[in-house]
Amino acid sequence: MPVVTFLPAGVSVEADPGTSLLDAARQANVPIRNDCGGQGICTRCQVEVKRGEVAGRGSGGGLAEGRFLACRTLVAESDLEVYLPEETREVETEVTLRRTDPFPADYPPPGAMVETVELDLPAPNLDDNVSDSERLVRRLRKWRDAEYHIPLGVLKDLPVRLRDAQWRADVTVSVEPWGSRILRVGRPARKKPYMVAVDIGTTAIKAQLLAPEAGWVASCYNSQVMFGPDVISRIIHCQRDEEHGCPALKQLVVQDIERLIAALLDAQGVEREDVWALVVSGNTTMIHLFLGLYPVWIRREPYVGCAYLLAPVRPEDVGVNINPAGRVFCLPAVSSYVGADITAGVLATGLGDRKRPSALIDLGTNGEIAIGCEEFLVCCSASAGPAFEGGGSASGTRARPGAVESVWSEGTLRWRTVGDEPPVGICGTGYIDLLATLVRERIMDKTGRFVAGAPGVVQRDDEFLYVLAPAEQAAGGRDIILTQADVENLVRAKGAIYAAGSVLLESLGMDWGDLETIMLAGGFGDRLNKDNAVTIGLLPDVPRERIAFVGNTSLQGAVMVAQDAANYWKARDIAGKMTYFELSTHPDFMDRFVSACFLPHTDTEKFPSVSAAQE
Amino acid sequence: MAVTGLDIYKLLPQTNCADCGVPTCLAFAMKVAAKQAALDDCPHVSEESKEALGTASQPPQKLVTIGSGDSALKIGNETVMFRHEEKFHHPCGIAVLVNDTDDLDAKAAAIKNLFLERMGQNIGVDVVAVRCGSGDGQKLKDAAMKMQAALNLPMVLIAESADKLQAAAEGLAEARPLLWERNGPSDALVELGARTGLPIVVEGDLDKCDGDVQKARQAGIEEMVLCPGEVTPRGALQFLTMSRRAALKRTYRPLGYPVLAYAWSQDPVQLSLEACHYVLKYGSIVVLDEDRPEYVLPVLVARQSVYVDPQVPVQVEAKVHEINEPHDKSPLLVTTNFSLTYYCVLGEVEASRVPTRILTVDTEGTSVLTAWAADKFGPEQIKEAIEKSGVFDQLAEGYQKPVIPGLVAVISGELSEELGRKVIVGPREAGGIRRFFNSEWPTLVGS
Amino acid sequence: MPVPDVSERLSGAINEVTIGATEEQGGSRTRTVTIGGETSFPMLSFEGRYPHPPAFALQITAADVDDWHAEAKKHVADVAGDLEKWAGKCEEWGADLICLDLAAAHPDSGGRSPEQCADDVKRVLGASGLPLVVWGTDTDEVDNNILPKCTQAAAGENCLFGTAKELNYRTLAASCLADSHKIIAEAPSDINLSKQLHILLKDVGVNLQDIIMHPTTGALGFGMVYIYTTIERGRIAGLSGDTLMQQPVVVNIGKEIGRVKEAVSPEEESPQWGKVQVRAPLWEAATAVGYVEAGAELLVLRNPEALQQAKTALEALWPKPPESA
Repeated sequence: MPVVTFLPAGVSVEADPGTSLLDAARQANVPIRNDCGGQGICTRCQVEVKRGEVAGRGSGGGLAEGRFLACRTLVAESDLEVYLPEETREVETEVTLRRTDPFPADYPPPGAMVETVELDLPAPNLDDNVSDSERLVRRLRKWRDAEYHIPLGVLKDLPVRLRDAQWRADVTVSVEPWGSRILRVGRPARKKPYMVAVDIGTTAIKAQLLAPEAGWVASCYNSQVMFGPDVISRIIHCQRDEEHGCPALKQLVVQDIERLIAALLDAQGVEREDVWALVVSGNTTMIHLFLGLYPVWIRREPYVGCAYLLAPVRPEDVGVNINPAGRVFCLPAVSSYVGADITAGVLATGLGDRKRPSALIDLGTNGEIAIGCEEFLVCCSASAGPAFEGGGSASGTRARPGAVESVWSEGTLRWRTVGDEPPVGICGTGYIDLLATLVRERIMDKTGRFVAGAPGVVQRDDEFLYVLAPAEQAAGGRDIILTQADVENLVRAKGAIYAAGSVLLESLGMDWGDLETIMLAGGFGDRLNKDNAVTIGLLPDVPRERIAFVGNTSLQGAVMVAQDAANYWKARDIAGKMTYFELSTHPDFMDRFVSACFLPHTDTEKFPSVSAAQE
Repeated sequence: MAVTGLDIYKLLPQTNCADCGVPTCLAFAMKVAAKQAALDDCPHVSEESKEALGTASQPPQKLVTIGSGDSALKIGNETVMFRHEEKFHHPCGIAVLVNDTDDLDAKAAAIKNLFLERMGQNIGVDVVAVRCGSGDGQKLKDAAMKMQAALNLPMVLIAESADKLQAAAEGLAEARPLLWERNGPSDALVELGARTGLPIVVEGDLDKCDGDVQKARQAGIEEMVLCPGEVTPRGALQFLTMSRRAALKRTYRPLGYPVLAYAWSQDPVQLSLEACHYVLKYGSIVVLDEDRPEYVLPVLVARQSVYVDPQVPVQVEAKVHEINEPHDKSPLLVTTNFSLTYYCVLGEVEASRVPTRILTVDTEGTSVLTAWAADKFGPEQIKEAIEKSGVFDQLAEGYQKPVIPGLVAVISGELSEELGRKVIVGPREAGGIRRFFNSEWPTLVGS
Repeated sequence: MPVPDVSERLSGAINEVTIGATEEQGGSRTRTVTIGGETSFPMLSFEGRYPHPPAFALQITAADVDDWHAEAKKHVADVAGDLEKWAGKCEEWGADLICLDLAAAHPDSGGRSPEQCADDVKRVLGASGLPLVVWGTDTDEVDNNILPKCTQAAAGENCLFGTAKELNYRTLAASCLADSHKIIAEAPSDINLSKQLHILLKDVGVNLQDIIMHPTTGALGFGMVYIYTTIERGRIAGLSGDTLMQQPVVVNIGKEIGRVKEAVSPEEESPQWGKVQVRAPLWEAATAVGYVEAGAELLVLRNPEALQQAKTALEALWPKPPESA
């Protein structure tokens, strides 16, 4: 069998003739950038074949001499040496660790999803001769009245352990939908069970360690990106390859989470055995894939997922490597397109506790909106696409060091990057600023089309584009650009979000102005310029103090659930109470969408501050 | 007044028990507001709530049924002034006038000739108006019976006075004709209507109608149709607009009835145009003294058009559409059968003057990206549509390359494998088609 | 209880737009045509103004008329190929304006040069005193080539030029501004797209009062109802005060009729539909009347018979202002 060696990593793999280089790389665990799922469209997977003969039609068609598309180039009979240029390797596999405020020394607090309680049990005697397990449960009931379940594994050495601990034992229990599960009984260890909260985004995954004095959030790209940028492409992958598709995607996300956990544990000096729970949030498709649930009917009318309200599972059932007696909790979803991430967001922002209606807009790949107060909760999804997360754009990137995060004009356009590093690309907040600035400077018109001859606008291959930073300034040695197609994607994304919110509000007989607060959530940068978000019509023109940037509320919600089981019940409540609106069949959506696909909006009177600034 | 979902929600138990079959109370309330569910579907709703909603949700315009059986005409119950606000609900009746002095066989034959079909719908004349031109009630009855036997259509019976309507009304009561006493209703007609239970016409200006309707209601008549009488088109438009507004916007019940409009023009062209105008502007029965198809056809088509539900995505037929006389080396564009999508593509193709085939795939009237996301416009569906159409048989070797919308470029690889042919990724928007034809297409097919 | 007064006073009004310039106004037209100015929905004289009757233009072209359907072609057979004669005929037939269609500039229809097109404009202006509408080819490159020459050729005549589209509005906007003409803003059957185009035009200096909008056109039974509803929606917005929807509406009906089988299919093929010489003009007139009901003020027709029919029908509807004859 031919051997394919990927350079510069130097990793080799045996591959059958006819295997695409992309698949070979996947088998070798060598990440190759790829936004279209191997369809020969995105041209991100360019490689150079240094040695050997290949088959297929991966070259030509506008590619530079010597370049091949890995997805369209096939292994032939000979061994190969394949070089991955830097931009092709840009799928970062490495994990970014970020410091946060550390938790207190006595963290997690009592009442967490998993907690250890030290109990004194009366030793048995001839009068009080109930079984060990009943004795334990009887004592536990005094501590907290609930149904208790002792799994066989714990039961087996329960007698030994209780006596070994001389009837003064640490009991680790988890909260389950039906009561509590006993995970461990043993001598007092004076060590709390640690947990990890995870947000599985379509584009990026984040995890936070919940342990005393821990202060770390780890993040990385979702490696499933190589099967396509959005949930639909990934579902299609499962559909196309019924046998391997879904398991392959599950494995990728589990591996990502494993790496994040490893990084967190390493940073804090904690053992895997000490992690007793994973609390996971994410959209419905991501949770399906994480659990290995076949997601195909999510995309087909009438859009029904396998399960929204999930019971806790054992770590080995999903394949995550934490304490094997621990638990994996998934937050509940509302519908196929409004997932646990939104339930978490509503929980984290207290949307359902407010006296007056507010909105939560999650600017993720799926783009969900929830509106509500203590009286009602409604939500919808806007399929915004990954544009604001840097997906599918020529120079898009997630918010990471070197990402252009803000743009402004001082006669000419200026920008700054995360960490003031040389620019690697543009992240969401950078795109918001860039669009707003270009419109304001009349470098593009209000439909988002570049004005020929305007400064910075160049024509390449018959298309206009804007060069933000030339190659010589950029980290990757390539221009940082905004193409007409990028603008279209961004305008569509923001149009979808605004239109979805408008339709949802109209269904309630309300208007943006009736909302107390409009909270924007997402992980697309930390420097949201509210004025610019309004200038492009992503957000409505309301007094700016009503707009709040709330960050990654999916992760925040997962943390809240982990540290306080009351929130677990609350999340289930929220999911049950939330009314989902299907917009794809809503008669007004298309109209609102078209009117929102303009900068800032077709109805200029809805954006008085923007019109005033432009006069 | 429209009741919003939130208003209804406040009347519900708010337990989200889902016993009604809908996940939450608010979702159920929205369905009730959209008239897709009845409040009774909630097993836990209180009697007070039912009462509170009952009065508010009574339709502002009465539903009137003329005729009986399968051919019965239901008119009224309209809810909006402009069709985009919701839709026009009950297509108006289009009536051809027959005099009891006419050659009735010839008339019946002429009307039968107006049972036309268009785009899979029966669009023909669906009401016969029989007028007592003879002044003899018995003759009217005979003529009406004859038309009834020949056509089995709902009828409007017209006479100068109630006594002339009596025989026909009584004889044909089962067939539920609409009784129109000119300038009526007199007390005699009200009495006849109440006794036979038949719907009657109330003719006159708005004030007269207002009074007469209340008089007839007191006598126990429920189903009525208003009519402005012999007025100019301008006067009729005013009557139609104001009565509808009074009913819909002010819930003024005495004017909450459908309206009969009679095209009075003498010249057949003007009569046809006048009738078209009433079809568009709120007429619920439009009567024409004309039975030649060239004059009636536009009226029928106007009705078919204006009563299309604007909120249902309109679909075009899923098939190969041939534009500008294509030949075996013409491009084959593939798109969805959503009419807006298709007409955008069609417009550009026509303007390009390039002979082209457009294959519309049945995506249930959804646009390209929506259809792709919902698995209605994927490689399998496109392959099936291409094979079913047999379009490749019309194309020369080297030209059997479907052009798919750029928005779904991602399916090109798989589609190409499925078909065993090259697939061309076209422009993302219809606006790019002309440039595509000029610059890319020739190189892609190697010419 | 008295019948409630349901007349509505709306806050907005449709712009009044005048096409054509007489000698005193710097042009050479024998009359001008003003459309718009309404303060209520079409023809509702009991609650608002409708100061000018809908105006009708007849289409003429230097391209051959082979693709015209027979019932329209028979009227113009004598004059086709002679723009000046044809223009004179339009006046006799009762047109309020002439619409010169520049289809002949398209490479597939003879590819008349910008200079020839400009000359066509001049000759039509010379042959008739009616105000002029000039309609481009629907092909951006061709339009950008010929229209600036044509606007220049008609400088001072205050013509109406079209069409500006979202993807191609800058050239025509600049030439209409330079030569003081009115402009047709074309957006396919969507009030949002119309409004967006008006904003774009405003951003390049076009006065909103100088725009006539074209929501595109479909014939009765062949797309009319979508556009009818688009016009109605726009009219509601405009009368409610939306300045981006207060532009009068033009529809180009004549060229759409040939698509409708019911209108033009010969009797031998479709005897069930009756006489084609009745159907064809009546269909065009019915389409025109329908559009006026929605709110259109300027109608471009091909068939002079249809023009007469539609005008007669509208006279029975149009509430003449008391001061006019």
